[in-house]
Amino acid sequence: MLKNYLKVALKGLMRKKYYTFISLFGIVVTLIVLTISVALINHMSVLGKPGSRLSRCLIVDRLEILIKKGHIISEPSYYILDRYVRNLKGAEAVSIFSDAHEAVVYSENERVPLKIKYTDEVFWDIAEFPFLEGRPYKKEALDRAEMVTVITDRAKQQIFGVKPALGEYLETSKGTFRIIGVIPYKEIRALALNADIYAPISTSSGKMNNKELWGAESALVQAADRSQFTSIKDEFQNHMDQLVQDYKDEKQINSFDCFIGTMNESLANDINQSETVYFTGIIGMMFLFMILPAINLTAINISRIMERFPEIGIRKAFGASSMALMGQFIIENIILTLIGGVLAYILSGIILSLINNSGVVPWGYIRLDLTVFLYSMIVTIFFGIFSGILPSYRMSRLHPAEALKGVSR
Amino acid sequence: MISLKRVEKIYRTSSVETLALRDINIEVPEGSFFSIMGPSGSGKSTLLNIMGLIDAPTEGEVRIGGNNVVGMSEKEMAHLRNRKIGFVFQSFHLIADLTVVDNVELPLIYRKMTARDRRAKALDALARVGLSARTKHFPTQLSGGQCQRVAVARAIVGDPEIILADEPTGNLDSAMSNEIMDILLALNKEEKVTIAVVTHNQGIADRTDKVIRLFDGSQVA
Repeated sequence: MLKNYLKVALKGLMRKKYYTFISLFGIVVTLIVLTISVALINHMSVLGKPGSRLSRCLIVDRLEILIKKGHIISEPSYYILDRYVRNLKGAEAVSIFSDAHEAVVYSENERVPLKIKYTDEVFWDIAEFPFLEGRPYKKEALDRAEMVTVITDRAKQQIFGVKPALGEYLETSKGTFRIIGVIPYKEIRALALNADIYAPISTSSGKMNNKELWGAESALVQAADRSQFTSIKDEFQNHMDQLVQDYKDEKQINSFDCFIGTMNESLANDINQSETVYFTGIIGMMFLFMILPAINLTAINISRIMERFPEIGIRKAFGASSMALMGQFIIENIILTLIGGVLAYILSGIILSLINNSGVVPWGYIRLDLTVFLYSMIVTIFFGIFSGILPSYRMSRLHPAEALKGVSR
Repeated sequence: MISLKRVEKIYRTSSVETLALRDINIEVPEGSFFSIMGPSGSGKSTLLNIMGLIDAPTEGEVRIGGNNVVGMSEKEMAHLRNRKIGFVFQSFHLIADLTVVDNVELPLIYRKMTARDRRAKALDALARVGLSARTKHFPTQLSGGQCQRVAVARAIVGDPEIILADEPTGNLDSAMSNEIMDILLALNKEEKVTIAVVTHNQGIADRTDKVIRLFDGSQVA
């Protein structure tokens, strides 16, 4: 039966080229937008594989203080994070690292602007980046402020091309570093961790000597599991209360707020929304966007029933029940939308590849992975069923004699 | 086999009411071959459709093989059509997107059968109507007579007890008409299939056992 449906569906699609084009165009455009949206959401929200250390981390990355001098919104300083966050008892590990700053490198007289991030040694344990070559820097390198660096394969390609980089010296506007490791750029899956080159935070004297509350650093707080987040946040709050006490007189603090939350919450916090509202909003927009072509396809399908009267009548006359016909029509729609889904997936891959290569995206590598593909397929199948239900219901209610009237071969 | 009692059919729209059949009483014994004649609009096709359960009477009783079909669910009627009745239409009603053999297989896809068995039965039915050489063709590649033979193969593939043919020779020349009638007569004689044929052609009607004549929706003979 399925083979028969498939034949009818595919032949029908080939025969009605205009209808097929209009339907597929709507489906493909919608799914491209959806697939790329899902890829972008994934890009922003997937923090390593489930169960990875990164997936059970909180981030401290925003400080808002009202003092006599004025209102300051900034990232905290290394000094503050080291004094009040690194010692959180509920945390399994804490890493402190800087924002990504520009570090210019000259390669064959060409100016190559790269991003440098200063980190501690714990950063590598939490991020769990796979190393293509070499190794990360360890505590001893931090203690001795060794001018060593780990670079991404993309930075390596930009500076060294196909030549080996390990052991080479990288002269940058921030100093000269010896390359001890290379990591794959595509594996950097969070904005907070993104950079081209990484160096021990102790090599940045400006950061180590800054005794202000505010700076340009963040901390990752790794919990044993996500259920520990609440107790860690409570402990963090106690530490912040202590900080306010400690600096009350010196800084004349009127109000103080320091953000701690998941990276997704941090992202949502940037637009003053809760994580749930933020993602519900995105999903709601996606759903609305999807429903328009679904309605369009439904309308096309309903009008197309007219020209399928003979087939409906014949099938009914020879014993097809309404349910069997509904099933057939829905399967046909699913086939159409699956073709659209596969086309959209291929085109989305090409578009994302163009986006990644164009450098429009400021950080990371937007990937179209299996998860995105599965999301797309689920959306596609839902799309197919949704746009097939009403037409198939109307079709199945036709009386066979009515359907057969006024038809020819 | 087929029994109609006090059958009436009225087509209603919001403004017009048309009486298509009035007080029809027919008893068709098993294995008979009968024709339905009458001028255009006399209700011949409506009567055939009611016998074939593809239209419902407004009033009256319809029995197929002893079962009253009035009041049956849509699913039950679909099952009965699939198992007991085969149709042949004037305009063939083949699905243009399917090959000849796929068209013939159509009634069997609504039965629990393996694809291999379905294919074997379809090829056998095509052999019986002399179309074994055209199984992979599409309907548009066949002549009218060949299309009608495909339609007959589709009607007989499920071994129905009844074949209802609505002007099966209406679009064919006399040679082709005779060919189709020969096939139907052979089915009736050799396999005892009950056959009803709607026709305008007295020559065709003369070859059947009994003629039912309609005029303005009423049975006149």
